[in-house]
Amino acid sequence: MKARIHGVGWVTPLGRDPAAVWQAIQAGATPRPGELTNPFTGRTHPIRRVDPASVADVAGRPRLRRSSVISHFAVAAALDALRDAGCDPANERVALVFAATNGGVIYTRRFFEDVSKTGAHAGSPLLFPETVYNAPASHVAAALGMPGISTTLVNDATVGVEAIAAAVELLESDACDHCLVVAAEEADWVICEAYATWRLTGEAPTIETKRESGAIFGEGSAAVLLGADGNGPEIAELHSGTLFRSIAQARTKLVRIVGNFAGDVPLVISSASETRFDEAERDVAPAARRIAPKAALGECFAASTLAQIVCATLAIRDGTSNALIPVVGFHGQVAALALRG
Amino acid sequence: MGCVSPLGPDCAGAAAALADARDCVSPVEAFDVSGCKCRSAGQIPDAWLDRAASATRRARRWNRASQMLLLAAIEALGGREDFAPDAVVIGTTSGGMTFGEAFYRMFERGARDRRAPQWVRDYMPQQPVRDAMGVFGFEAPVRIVSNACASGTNALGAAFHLVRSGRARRVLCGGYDALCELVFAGFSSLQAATEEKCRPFDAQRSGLVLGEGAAVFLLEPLADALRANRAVLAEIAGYGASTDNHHLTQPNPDGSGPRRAMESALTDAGWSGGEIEYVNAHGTATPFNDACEARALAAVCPGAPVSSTKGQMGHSLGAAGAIEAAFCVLAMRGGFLPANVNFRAPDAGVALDIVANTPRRTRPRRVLSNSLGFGGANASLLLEAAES
Repeated sequence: MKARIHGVGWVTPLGRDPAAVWQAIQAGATPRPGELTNPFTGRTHPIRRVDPASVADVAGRPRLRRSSVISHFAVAAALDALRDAGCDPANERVALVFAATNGGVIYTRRFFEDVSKTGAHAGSPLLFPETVYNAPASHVAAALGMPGISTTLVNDATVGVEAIAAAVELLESDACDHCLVVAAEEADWVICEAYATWRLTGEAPTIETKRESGAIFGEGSAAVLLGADGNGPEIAELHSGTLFRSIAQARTKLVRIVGNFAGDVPLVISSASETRFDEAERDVAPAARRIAPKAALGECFAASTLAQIVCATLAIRDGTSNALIPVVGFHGQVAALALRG
Repeated sequence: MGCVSPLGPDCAGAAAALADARDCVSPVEAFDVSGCKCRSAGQIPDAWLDRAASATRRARRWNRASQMLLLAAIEALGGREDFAPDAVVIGTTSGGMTFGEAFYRMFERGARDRRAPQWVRDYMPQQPVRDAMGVFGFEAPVRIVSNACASGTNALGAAFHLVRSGRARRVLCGGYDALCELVFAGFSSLQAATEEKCRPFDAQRSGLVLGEGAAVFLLEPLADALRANRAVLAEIAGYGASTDNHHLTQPNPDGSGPRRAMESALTDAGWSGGEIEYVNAHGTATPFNDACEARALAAVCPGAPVSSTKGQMGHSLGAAGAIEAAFCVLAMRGGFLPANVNFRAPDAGVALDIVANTPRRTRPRRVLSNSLGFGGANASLLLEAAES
């Protein structure tokens, strides 16, 4: 059985409307980044922010009033993917697979800040529950009325591909009629500082310059609704994350795993974010048209991978025959996915 | 199967502590808990973790979580270097969070630390898995499940389905979590942790204590194991999961969440609730959790003997489901039902056959292990004793 994508949704720094955002990405939009500041050092990091107004329709829901923005992003994208597919979880068995790399880092940092300043007794009971990786999935399931299987997966950006693999398994085992795959991330200065220690962040890079001067981080979410049959792009190939120890090895492994289906692919939706890891994709379908959504949306880890899949889906809806999605994770894994129209 | 827990550095140690109904909870010394109501936890002595360095010298610098997972994996593999997994599925909630804490505190102190890049790498939930796999040279795809306290059971369930569907022939699966200040403070803030003994299902239960540990299993089709004349410790017969949308941290009191997970597992296995001969309950000893789970158990498998082993070692969160599955296997092989320690009086209106304070001598053949987590994550695993 092959799974098909029936619906897509996303929350991005360019907005939430799939067609408009996809058009802006293709046009090379690079919105002016905002800033996050480390309060201890004063160091600033550029960041591609989501306009809070774009998720205002979900942020006021009772369950989400105290939650962090990662859950707002996740619920909004999930809602849009279901609407796009015309799927009502009240009438179908819809499973949920949520993917994240950094998860609810804002509340985690704020909670530990209190604990570190004042002691282990000082943490806020409102913040702590939102620090668990599956809190956004819980909010999505509650908001959409999904009582069935819900799984949260964590890893570097390749977790987006692994989440699709998990969804395909659920569909194949007839555990659900549809599977909603959602990924979301939020931005915090501590995450920027973390990746800065690996020299992956940039001051103000642009992908167009090809300078590999570092990624601008982003925030947002993306969601795809998968079904076992019907219309929509098909998951033609899927390779879960495989480990690499050097960029050269990543490059070799990526070529090997996409080898079977890279020959005639007209479009590559790249995971490049202007870091040294971009090199790993260099030999993947070099003749194909290449679009790097992170130039516009920022490096959003797991959510970026789902956003790549959304881009490929929209390209296929526009008439592209098939598209390849290579993913290079910052934590030593490469993965790939191919969609066919 | 391999297991490192406060009950012992390996399965044999855990089996002995289970058979003795030993309470292995002790005062926390790793960080300051003076302001907390609860000041104890089930902890793994550093001396046990030092053994990880005998596998690789790098392990000396690893996070405790990595060391635990490696030791469990070494025991599980038991010299079977030929077991190259097609997939690795591991549950956790906190990864190497103590290193995340160290990274944050570096900014508070205002001094850079040359260990910062390692802290960043090693706090991530996938790193302990990468560390352990690296020792054995495994390169299989890694799936990290983080469904709060159900993570370990979810990981075993996902691995079971991978093998049963034929998507993978050999899966290394399990769970790990190490005690950390953030999570300790978290449960303290929720007033879910108790200042006295952890008393699952007791009428006067007052909350949980935390624990830590890791358990790892090697899964393969029964036919493969028999063909190769490999010892089979137990079979996974069924797995079920559900989501309770009642509240982020509190289950629906009617028990519908865990009940649906258990029913789904029974359907998956083709069993009836009456066939369950022992239940290793989630049983955290918080008032809400135990009442909810007890209601569900009374509905699904009335009369089955029930115990929670969290009284002996605390709640190890993402590792709990894997460790408790290991305890179930030890119980089936050892011919006893683990005790529900610190039990004094049954809760009014809860009709469960609690294995109170002393292990019960009997050899269960079909057992159920439950895990219930934040976010309404419920998971149930059914295990069957291996044929001799």
